[in-house]
Amino acid sequence: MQLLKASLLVGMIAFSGSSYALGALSRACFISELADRNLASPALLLFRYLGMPIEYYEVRNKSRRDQEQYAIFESITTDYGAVRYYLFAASRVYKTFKHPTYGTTEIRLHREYKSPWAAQTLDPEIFKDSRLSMFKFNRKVSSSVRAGNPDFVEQVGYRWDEERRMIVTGAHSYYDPATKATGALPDTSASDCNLSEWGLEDR
Amino acid sequence: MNKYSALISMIALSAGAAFGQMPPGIPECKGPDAINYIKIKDSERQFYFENTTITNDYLLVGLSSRYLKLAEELMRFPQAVAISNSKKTDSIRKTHLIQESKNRQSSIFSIDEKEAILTQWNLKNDGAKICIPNEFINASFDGSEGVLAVIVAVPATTDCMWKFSWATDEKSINNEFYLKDTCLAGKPKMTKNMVFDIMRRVVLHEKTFPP
Repeated sequence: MQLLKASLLVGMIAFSGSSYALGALSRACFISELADRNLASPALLLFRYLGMPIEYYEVRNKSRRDQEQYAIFESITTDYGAVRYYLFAASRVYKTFKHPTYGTTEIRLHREYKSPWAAQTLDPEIFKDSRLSMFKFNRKVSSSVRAGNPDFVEQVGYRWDEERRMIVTGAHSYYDPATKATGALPDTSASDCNLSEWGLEDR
Repeated sequence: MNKYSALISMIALSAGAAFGQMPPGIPECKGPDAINYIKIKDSERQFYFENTTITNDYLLVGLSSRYLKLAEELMRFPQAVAISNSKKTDSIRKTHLIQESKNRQSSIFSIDEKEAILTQWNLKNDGAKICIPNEFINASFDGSEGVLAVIVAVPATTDCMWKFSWATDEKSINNEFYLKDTCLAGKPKMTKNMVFDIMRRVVLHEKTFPP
């Protein structure tokens, strides 16, 4: 249950100026990139509240070089209100590497994640810590599902040929249980934190 | 456009068709239009028929009691705008407009003292698509076929809500109409004809006074 609550909150890192919450997004977000935008500390605090292991919380104190090894890979489907549609998200994480002969950049599947087939709205109790006020925005009534590592942050190891750059693609589905329509939003993809993009209207 | 954009395109091309599928147990939605009509596979029946009974006039669907509070939820959205330029004595008036996204909007109406909602979602403009099983199509409105349902709360209360969804604009816009009612032993107080009469007035009002 706690992890379900997290889905919305993780999505809220993408607090662009948009007032809409309908949509879908993916991100391949290294903590070093979040640190550049001064988001790493509050984001990790938020995840800690939601159950992220303590060792990942300490990533905020590590060097930039170390932070480059920690990342959040996720795909999120979101909508206003939890009642009308059930939501689903699936996420695939790819590594990139140099082809040994041709020198071209290629991809290798690294992880796959799936969300539960449901939606969860925000529990306002989580926001009592004022340090997290930046995440409040106006998402209080939105609902979302998240496909990603349940620990939020993960450490990435590399083979000799792999670049320190990842690609995430997301699939986003919904279901109207009253009138039985199943559906899909367009797939999403990202090779960075994707903080500027939120939902369909910003595509 | 960087080299990763090209890679992303490559992933989309090579894996997109398979990846866009629903998860195991969830019916897949494929089709040429934004709104498509499909046949249910045997393996999908349990999914579709959960808490659902087919009656002569409508699907009877048991859902969370939150579903019946949709209007209240819509009114709480940050972008909900209350509309006050109509007389309280009007038999039909729009009370709220909620622009949920660039391509999806909901209007809340007061009609004969009843609360109704009309949602219109331009799926085509969003690049989205939906699939509707043929066997649930049980009504038509303005020449378009659709699905009429009565939603009751689980556990049961006397509150219930009608919902009709249908496609317009060459299957690019999905329309949803909601009307609150009272149910006793799973049977609504209003009839299908009464609901469609009210819906016709709401749709005409929306066409006459577009947002």
